[in-house]
Amino acid sequence: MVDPGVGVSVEGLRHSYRSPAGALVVLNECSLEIPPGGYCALTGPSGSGKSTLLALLGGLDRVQAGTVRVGAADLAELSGDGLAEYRRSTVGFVFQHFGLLDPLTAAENVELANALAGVAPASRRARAAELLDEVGLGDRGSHRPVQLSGGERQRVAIARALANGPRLLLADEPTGNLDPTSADLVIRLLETVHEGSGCTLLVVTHNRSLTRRAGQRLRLADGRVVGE
Amino acid sequence: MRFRDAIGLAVRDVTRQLGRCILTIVGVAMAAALLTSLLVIAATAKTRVIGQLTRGGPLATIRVEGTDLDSNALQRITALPGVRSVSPVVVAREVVTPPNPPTYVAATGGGPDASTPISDPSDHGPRPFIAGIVGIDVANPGLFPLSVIAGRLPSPSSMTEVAVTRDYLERAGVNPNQPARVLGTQLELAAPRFVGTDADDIWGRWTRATVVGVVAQEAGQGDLLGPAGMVLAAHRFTNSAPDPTGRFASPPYAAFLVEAQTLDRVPALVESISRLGFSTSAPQSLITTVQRYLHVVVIVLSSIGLIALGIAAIGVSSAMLGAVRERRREIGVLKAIGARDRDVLSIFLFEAFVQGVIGGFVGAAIGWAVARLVAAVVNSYLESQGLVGVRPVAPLAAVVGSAVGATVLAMVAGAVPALRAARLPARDAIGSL
Repeated sequence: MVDPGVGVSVEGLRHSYRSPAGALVVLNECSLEIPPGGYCALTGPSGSGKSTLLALLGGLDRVQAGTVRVGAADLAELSGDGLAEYRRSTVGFVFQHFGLLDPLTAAENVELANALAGVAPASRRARAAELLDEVGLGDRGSHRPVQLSGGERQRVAIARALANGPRLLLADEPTGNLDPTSADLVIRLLETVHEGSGCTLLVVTHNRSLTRRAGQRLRLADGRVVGE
Repeated sequence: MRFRDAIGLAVRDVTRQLGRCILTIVGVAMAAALLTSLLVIAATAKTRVIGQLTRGGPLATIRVEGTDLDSNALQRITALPGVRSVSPVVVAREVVTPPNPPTYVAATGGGPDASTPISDPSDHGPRPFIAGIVGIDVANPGLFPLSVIAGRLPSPSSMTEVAVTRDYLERAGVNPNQPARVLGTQLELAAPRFVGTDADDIWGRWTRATVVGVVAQEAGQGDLLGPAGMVLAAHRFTNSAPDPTGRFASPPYAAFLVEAQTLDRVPALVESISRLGFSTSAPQSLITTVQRYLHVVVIVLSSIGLIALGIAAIGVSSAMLGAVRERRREIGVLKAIGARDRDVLSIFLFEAFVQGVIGGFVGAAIGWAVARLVAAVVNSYLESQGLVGVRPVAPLAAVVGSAVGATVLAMVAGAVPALRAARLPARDAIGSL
């Protein structure tokens, strides 16, 4: 379904935001390693820098200081278009808020990722149908996000994240807005994808059962990895 | 991202915010309509007047005067190169007897009707007077410097219809501000002819004529205006015998109005006519002045239209800035799944293009329709004045230019919001992951 995973290497990462009170340091000398094809759960209290770390690994934000390597790519050295290409070809995002575009149907949301990669319409339609089948929503392709339940929306989001065959799947509290049954379904789906493709899976979560199932557990506090 | 995909996404976004988009499109359409209608009206006015100037009409005609204007002169001038037409003006002097007692139509309700004398016949009523009656080709009134103030021009073949001037109204004791009151009244006209050598040996060729219109005219000296045939008959009667007093005799033609084929032939034609020994006058300085004024009118009208387009552009910009604010997270998601800055830029620019192109072309069509409506109203007025109506001139460049201009302006107005959307940092746009 997707290509084999890439290794993630973070070394001495520092990141801060400007605030009226001055620079707000979110990540401070943060370092971690995730092996290719690893399954890592990232936990930590609110404000510990989990989402910022995920954004930096996903190329959504620029590296201010330190090193972030994903496979052979040094993210600090990539240009704007380079980062877009990296996000398109290497990374798949799953957001807590699903991140689906309301005017598009489920199938069109999945197709969108392929469209951005320049895939021909016929190919991407087939790919979207295939992915929706895989996440158990083969019959809901023509439905708009508002016509789907929370769990179904998240499964559409996972299908979209897989559209371009990512080698690094980043999920930020993917079960945060779901009921326990839907959450369990989504977790199992992410694990199936991970096992089936060998992609590297990094999940930011507060879900204890999900954390327990991950092969690697990292805990972030005060902007640095403090252990499992 | 392929261009077609960007278009598809933009169209989806337009339909999602249909209300706002329709309002924006209406704004662009109104501005484009205003610009188009003003340009068409300006072009029509310019073409109409320039047409008069360059193809003839009162402003471009050369007036030829003199005491030796006869059939021979008419033929010689007609044969000159560059002449489109020569319209002779005949003036006969006649004794005019207004109705006494005066029986004029009431100007307003409550007054005496047309058949009711407004005063008793008396010595205080209008007295007969000698006046010139100007004869022209009333079938082609556009060739002569005249305008109808009330009523209409006499029928071309009529021998019993005349129009009168404001000078006649004053002589007849009618308020010049109520010219319609004389319409329908009957005059007695007497073309004199001397039958002896004594100044008192005069015969009169008596005719009756109905006043059908009131005009302002500069074709010839006279208080009355009639068809050329009617005036020519009176002129021939008077001039068939010598006039010992010199009060009634006149040359066969009072003037020729020579219409040049084009404006640029007027100077040469003036010179040719002068070489034949006739005095001329052509309002060339007036032509230049009119052209300048028309140019100013076009500039002013275009500016008003452009200001309207500018206001519409601000509306487009404002609406799109609102859209960018509302769709901030969506922009972030697009970037998270691989959209480049230029992909986001093209989506928003295409939205502006859609709004601009629909508004622009709909507006141009509406503007053209409005211009036609204005032309119809103007035509109605001109025709009521006995003048030739106007046909709206719609230069393709003006109509298409308005539509394309509105589209380009909408895209320029959308460029700032689109750039803002494209440059949004993905992390900031997406907010909390």
